[in-house]
Amino acid sequence: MRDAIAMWRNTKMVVLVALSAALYAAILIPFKPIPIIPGITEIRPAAAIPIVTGLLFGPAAAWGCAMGNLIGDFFGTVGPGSLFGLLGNFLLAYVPYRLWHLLSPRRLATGAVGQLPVFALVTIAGSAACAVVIAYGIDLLGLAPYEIVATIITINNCLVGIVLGMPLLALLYPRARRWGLTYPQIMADEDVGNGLLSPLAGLMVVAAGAVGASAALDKAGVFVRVGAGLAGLVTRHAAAFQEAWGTTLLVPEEMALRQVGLICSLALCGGVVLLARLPRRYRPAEAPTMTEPRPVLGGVDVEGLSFTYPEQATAALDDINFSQRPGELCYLMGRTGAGKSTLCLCLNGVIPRLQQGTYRGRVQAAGLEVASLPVAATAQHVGVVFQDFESQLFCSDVEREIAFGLENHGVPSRQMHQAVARWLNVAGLSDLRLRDPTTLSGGEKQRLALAAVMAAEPQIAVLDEPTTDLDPQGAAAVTSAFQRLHHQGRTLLIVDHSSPRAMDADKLLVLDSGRLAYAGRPEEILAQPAPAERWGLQCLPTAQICAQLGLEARPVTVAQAADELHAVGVKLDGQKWGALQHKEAQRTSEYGEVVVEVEDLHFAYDGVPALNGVSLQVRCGEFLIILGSNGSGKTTLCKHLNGLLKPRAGQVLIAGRSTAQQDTAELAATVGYLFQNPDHQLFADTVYAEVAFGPRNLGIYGEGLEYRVRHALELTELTGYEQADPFALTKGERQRVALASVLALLPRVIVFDEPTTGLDIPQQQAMFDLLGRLNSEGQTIIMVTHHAEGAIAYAHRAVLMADGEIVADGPVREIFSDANLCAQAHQSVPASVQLSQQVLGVTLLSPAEFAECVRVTEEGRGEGQ
Amino acid sequence: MNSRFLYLDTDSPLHRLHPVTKIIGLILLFVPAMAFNHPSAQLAVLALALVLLSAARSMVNLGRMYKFLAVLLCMSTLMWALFLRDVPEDVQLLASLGPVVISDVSLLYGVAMGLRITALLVFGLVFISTTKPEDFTYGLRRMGVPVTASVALALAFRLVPTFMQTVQTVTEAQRARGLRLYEGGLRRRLRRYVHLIVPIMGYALRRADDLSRALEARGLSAPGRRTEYFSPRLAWADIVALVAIVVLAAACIYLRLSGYGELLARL
Repeated sequence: MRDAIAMWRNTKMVVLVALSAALYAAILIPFKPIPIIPGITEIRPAAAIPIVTGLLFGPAAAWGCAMGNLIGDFFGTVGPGSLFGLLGNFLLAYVPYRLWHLLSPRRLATGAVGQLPVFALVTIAGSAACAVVIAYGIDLLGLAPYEIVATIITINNCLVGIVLGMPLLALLYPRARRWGLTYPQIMADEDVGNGLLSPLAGLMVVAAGAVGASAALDKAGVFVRVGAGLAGLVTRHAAAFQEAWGTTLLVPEEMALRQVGLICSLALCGGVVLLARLPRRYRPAEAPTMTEPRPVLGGVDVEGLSFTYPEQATAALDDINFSQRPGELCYLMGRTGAGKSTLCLCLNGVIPRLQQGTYRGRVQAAGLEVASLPVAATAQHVGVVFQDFESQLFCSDVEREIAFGLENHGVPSRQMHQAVARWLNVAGLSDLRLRDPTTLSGGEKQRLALAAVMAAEPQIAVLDEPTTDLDPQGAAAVTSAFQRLHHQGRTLLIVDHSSPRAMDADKLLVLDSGRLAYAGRPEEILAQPAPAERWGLQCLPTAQICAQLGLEARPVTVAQAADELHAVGVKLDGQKWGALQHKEAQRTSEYGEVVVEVEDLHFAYDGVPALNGVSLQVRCGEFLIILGSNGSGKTTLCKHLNGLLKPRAGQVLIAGRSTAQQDTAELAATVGYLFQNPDHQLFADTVYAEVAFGPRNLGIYGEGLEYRVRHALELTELTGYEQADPFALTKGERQRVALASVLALLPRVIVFDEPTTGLDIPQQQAMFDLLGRLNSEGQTIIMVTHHAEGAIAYAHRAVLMADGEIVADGPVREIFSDANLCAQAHQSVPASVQLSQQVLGVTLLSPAEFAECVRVTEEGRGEGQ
Repeated sequence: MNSRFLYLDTDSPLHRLHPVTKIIGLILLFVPAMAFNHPSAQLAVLALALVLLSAARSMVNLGRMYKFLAVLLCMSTLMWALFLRDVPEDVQLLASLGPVVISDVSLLYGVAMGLRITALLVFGLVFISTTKPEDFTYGLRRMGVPVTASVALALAFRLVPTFMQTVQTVTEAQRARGLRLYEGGLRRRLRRYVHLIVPIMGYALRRADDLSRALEARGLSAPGRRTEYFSPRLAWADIVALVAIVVLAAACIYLRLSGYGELLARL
């Protein structure tokens, strides 16, 4: 039992408890059981979860699955049976894990075929233990007879555990290991190890399970019936065995099964307590010697900081030196994998306190030696808002979320209420005080995550990519919250990919492959095309335009750029401009037949209208982007195109056939759909298997399959990655694998839902380039995006949505020339468009078009020189 | 995604009780249901449960659950009617089909058990209709459950809707790649869940590191005493309610020991 108690001192194990519990509950409820006898017995696929998670996460899974079952009961079945359900599910995870550790302490369960005998043994033992305890409890409470419950649970859990558990384990083990989540990677050997009594306890658990379960199976007549059936089959004289039907072999008629259940349950519980070493007393952790927070606002000093993750050849951070004065606003930029997040984690001491690896150098923040203090102590002075805001909202309402950190730090009640009220106000969330954080919009969630960290009044705030996932308006609201903090004199370090926002910074830090490539004024880098490109940054479009026109000035705002262009004198090259327009007109005339037709589509979620009469036609070869704020109905519209949603009124025709009569799986061959997050669909252990999954579902095998996979991998530039594990790739690569898996279906239309979320600038560019190339080869593309600026260089046509309606639909150039329309759909007008309208009176979509169609007049060129 | 837990955000005397009162009260309310095994006594207990549910202004949830409860009631009745073995000799056989027999006693016992399970679940329903998950975890904390365990439970409650959303998205994503979930034999169907469970778990586990870092950064393992943002006090209403329930439970045990409400000499 020592392991099950010692694990609570480890935050990662606590998180694994919560994750296992939530996963188990979430899978327990919606996954329809497969009925065997409808209404009486069914197969529950979720029963594999405790066994698999138990073998991976050990005691955390046992507690987690027990809690998960309790949470499942909160959907309507709370009763005294919940207690036995709790215990039974604990055993279903704990017994297989402990028995495995007893039989093979050195090697974890990996799901390899050679491990099947041991896996089957521990699964059966765990299932029997779970069945005996639950059946005893249910029978004791008078809810159902022992033999029936025990028989159903034993058979279900053994079957599901073995058939589903093995392949699940084979796929999950390598990933869990890579992420450092298996129990030996987290817990100390002396806490997990076997005790002296463990073998004896193991025997006791197995024996108690075997007796309890087989008594039930026997009483239910399973042995006799199966035996009679088999014997009848073999001898072809079924009649002779029918007499035996309904009698039992082991258990005498008069024997009360409840007593058997009680004795076996007690033996099981006793055995389980002894399966690991006996618990011992731990001394409480010493309170750290806290340095008094200094009255001056803190700055950051980093000296010679290097960090290498375990089992990695190259350093994530390599000799970083910089300092940030109190009250300074710094932006940190660089490619994905350049070390930005690692640096953030060093500033609040998560590295090296919680993350293993090789650490050198020194970090001082707010006057504290960060590496020598517990993270919880540093947290009061250095607040870090992490990139994934879903992962840092723990509570059930906004108010508690802000209070959570204060509670942990033991802030007295009155002070805490004042602080919560103040930060609700700062974050603009006072009206949403009692809302469930999961129901907030992206921008609100992000501001809540910020307030929750800042409520502890840290002098330094570190924000890792705070505006991904937000529409331009949401991003603006968050940015203005930062500015307020900055004006209060706090020290801010923000990681962001957006160059225009980074222009607010006092200082820009650029990381490149773990080294600090630049520290200085932002405009010196961001307004220069060459250095920006070298480090994967986005050059300010105004500066880029001037550079492409051969001018020396590098204006940072549209107004400055307009002045500059007026000053030097530019004119539109009429011929080139005409050719551009002609090319677009010709492209429009060359589209094929109508492939998507939406007619007066209406849809509502639980009575809340989401689409109010949308009509849309898409022809073969088009590249359509759908723009609009969060919640305007973009995704709802797209989900109608492949039948995931069916129209409430109106209709959707794909290649002339209504989606109402077609299943999504059927439509998959015509309409491919790429979801926003690639991790929602990747499961296989190789890229090849992942990409081949779709065509196999369509019944394509052999050479046809081979060709499709190869072709899809070529298109996405993933050739050579066939045997790689998709889970080990970067986010950009995972997004391409997901795209390849859709391309392999050879769909006529592909729908993309925000394909560039969470990608850095070069990856975004590569994704847009790829889409442009696919489209130029004839692929019809429909894309939902917030990154209009990147997409309009390739898209032909734009649809703006607001409040479930299409407010504008037309060529990209036309739509973006109307600033009012853009504002209505919460879109910002790209700088190129603003500038070309102000200076030339026409709409140019990108710096590239400027370079093509605009000439600096001779006088201007002369003056410039 | 709106139909999540069954908690109803209304105001009633039961909603206003202290979480600790509700947890202890729920456990004690199981006593009356467990005490008797005669149908008429069970009917009275069920009536009590329904009165409490309506006092909690939560009959709506009965509407959501009634189909499930009806199936359970029938199944439980039928199962005991068929499988009850240790009955007295002097029973009247009602029907028999091979080795399976139904007697008047086993049928009555079945009805009583069906009513019992319904009553137990309605008591549970009163609890979950009036208690937010966070009040439940707060109550557990006040009753001595360690902070880390109650935070884990609270976090799990909070993650369930997120993961249910994930389950839905993953299912949609795989259907969009041509996966047909409900076709084929049992083994193939079971194996098909691999395509759903692996991405769901992968998605969840990828966040384990982030979650533990974020919890640490908000001071979860901070040494020293933890304070509570909401710390309701026991009011007079709580004491009255607890006393009433204790008296009720004791009375039920006394009645059963005196022989009332007993059909068979078993629980």
